[in-house]
Amino acid sequence: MTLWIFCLVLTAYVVVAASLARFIKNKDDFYVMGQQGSTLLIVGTLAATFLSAVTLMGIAGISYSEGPLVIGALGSFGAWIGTLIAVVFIGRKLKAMGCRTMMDFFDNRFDNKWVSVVALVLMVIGLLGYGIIQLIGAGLVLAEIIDIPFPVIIVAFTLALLVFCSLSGMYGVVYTDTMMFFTMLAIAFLIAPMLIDDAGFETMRGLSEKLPGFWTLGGANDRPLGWSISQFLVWILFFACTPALVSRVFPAKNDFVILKVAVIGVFFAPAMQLLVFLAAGAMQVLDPGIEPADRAMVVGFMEHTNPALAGVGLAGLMASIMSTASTLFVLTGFALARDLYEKLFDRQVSERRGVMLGRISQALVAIVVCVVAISRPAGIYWISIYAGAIFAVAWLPTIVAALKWRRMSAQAALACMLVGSISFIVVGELQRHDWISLPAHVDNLMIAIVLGTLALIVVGLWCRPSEHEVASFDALRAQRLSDSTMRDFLAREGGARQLVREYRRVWGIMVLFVLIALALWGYLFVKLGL
Amino acid sequence: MNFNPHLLLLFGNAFLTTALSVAIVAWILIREYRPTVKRLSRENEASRESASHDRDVDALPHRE
Repeated sequence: MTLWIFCLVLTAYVVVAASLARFIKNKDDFYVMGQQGSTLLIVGTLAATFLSAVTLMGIAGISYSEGPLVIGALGSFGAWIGTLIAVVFIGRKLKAMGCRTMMDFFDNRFDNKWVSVVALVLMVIGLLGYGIIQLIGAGLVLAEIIDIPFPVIIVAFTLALLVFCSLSGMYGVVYTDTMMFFTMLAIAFLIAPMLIDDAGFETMRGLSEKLPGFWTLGGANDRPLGWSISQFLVWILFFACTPALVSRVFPAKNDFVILKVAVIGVFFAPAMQLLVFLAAGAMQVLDPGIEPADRAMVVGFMEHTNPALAGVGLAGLMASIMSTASTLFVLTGFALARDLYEKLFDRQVSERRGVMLGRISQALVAIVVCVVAISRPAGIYWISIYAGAIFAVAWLPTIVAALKWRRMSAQAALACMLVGSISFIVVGELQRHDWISLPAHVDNLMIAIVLGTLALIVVGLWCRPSEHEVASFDALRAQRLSDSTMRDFLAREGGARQLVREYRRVWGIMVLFVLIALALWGYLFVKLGL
Repeated sequence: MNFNPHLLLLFGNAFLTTALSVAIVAWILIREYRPTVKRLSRENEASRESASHDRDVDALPHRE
C-alpha cells in the first residue's frame, strides 16, 4: 500500500504543477508568480518550507528519546522568531525594494560585482548543500519504508521537482507547497493528537519517572542550559535570513497578505512543530525502544494509526522533504539564470528567453541534485556541516547593516561575508579534528558571527560608501511596502472601501489567532504542566 | 497539582511567538496605515452625511 500512496501523492503534485505551466507568460510569472500570491498560498508555502524532514525525523527523534523540551523549548523558539524576522522585517523590506530574488538586494544596494559573486557562491553552496543532504537522509528512510531502491526514490523526486520548478517556476512551488501544507496540518492536528490521546496525558506526565528529566529543558540526557541557549541562537540566526523563508513573501499580492502571513504563518510554525514533538513523546509511552529514534513518528504513522491515516502520514513525510527541497532548488535555479547569467554577465534577454533560461537552469539543478544525491560523495556530507548556517554567519550581519547603516559599503559587505564564512569553516574544522577546544557552550557559529560583524564594522568605518551606496540606502529608507499597497488600492474603483476592509480584516485575524494560541497552548499546559 | 516551570516556558514561548507577531503587525498597522484609514473613513462619513442631507432637502415640500 505504501508504494501506491507514494505514487498517488507524487502524481497529484506533478499533475497540479504541470497544469500551472499555462500561467507562465513572462519572467515575473516564473520568478514571483506575477505577485498574485494570496494569504492561503503564502501561508502554505511558508509553513511547508519551514517544516522540513528535520522536524519530522531528527528533532522528533530527540523528543522521543530525551524529551520534547530539549529542542522545542528554546531551539525551536529561535526558529519561530527567526521566521517572524524573515517575513516581517527582511522579506517585507526586500519586497518593498522590488526584489524578485535575494540576490537583487545585493545588486541594488551595492552595485558591486564582487559582492554579488561572493553572495551568489555562498547562496548556491548553502542551498544545495542543505537541500541535497535533507533529500538523501529522508530519501533513505523513505526507501526503507516503501521498500524500493534509494536511487528510484531520488529519480522520482527529481522528476517531480523538475516539473514543479522547471515547468511552472514559482507557481508550481507555491501551489504544491500549499497542497503539502495540508498534509502536514493533518499530521499535526489529526495524527499527533490521536497518538497523544492513545498514550494519555497522565501516562505521558509519568514518563519523567521512567526517564528522569524527560519534561525538563535539559531532557533525559541532562543537557546544560548553555547548550539550549546556543541552539536558540543558531536557529534564530539561521532562520532570520535564509533565502528559503525570506523569498516566500516575494510572490505575495500586497502588504496585507504579508501582514496576515506574519500572524497566521508564524502561528503554524510552533503549532505544527510542538504537536509533532509531543506526539513523539507519546510514542515513548506507546512504543518504547524504537531504534533509531528518528523513526519514532514513522512508526507512529505506520503502526499506531489506521491505514488511511498512515497514508496521510507518509504523504506528509514526503511533503516535508519535497516542499523544502523544491524551494531550495528553485532558488538555486533562479540564482543561476537570473543572477548569474542575466545580471552578472550583463546579458539582455527577452521575457520569453528569460523564462526559457530559467527553465534550463532548473533542469540543470535537478540533474546535479539527482547525480549528487544518488552517488552520495563524501564531500556533500562535509559541505552539509556548514551549508545550513552559512547564511547566518555571512549574510545576516551584511543584510542587517545594509538595511540600517548608512556607512555600509561593498568593502564592508565583502569583509563580513568572507571573514564570517571562512572563520566559521576554519574554526569548525580545527575543532572537529581536536586541534582546538572552545569554551563550554561556545561554538564556531558564534565566533564566526562575532568576527564577521567586527570585520564589517572596522571596514565600514575605514572605507567611505560610494555615491551609489548612499543613494541606494536613502532610497531604501524611503521605500515602504505600505505606501505602494495603499497607492494600488486607492487607484482602483471602490479601492478606499476595500483598503479599510482589508485593514479591519488584519485586526480581526490578529484577535482570532491570539485567542486560538491562548486556547491551544493554555490547554496543553494545563494538561501536562499543572 | 504539580506545576512544571519548564513546560510553562515551552508553551509560553509558543504563545509569545504569536503575541510578538501580533504586536509587530499591530505596530505596523497603527504607524503606517491608520492615518490613511482614518482619513478615508472620515471622508466616507462626510460624503454619506452630505448625501443624506441632500436627500432630506429633496424630501422637504417645495413652496412655490
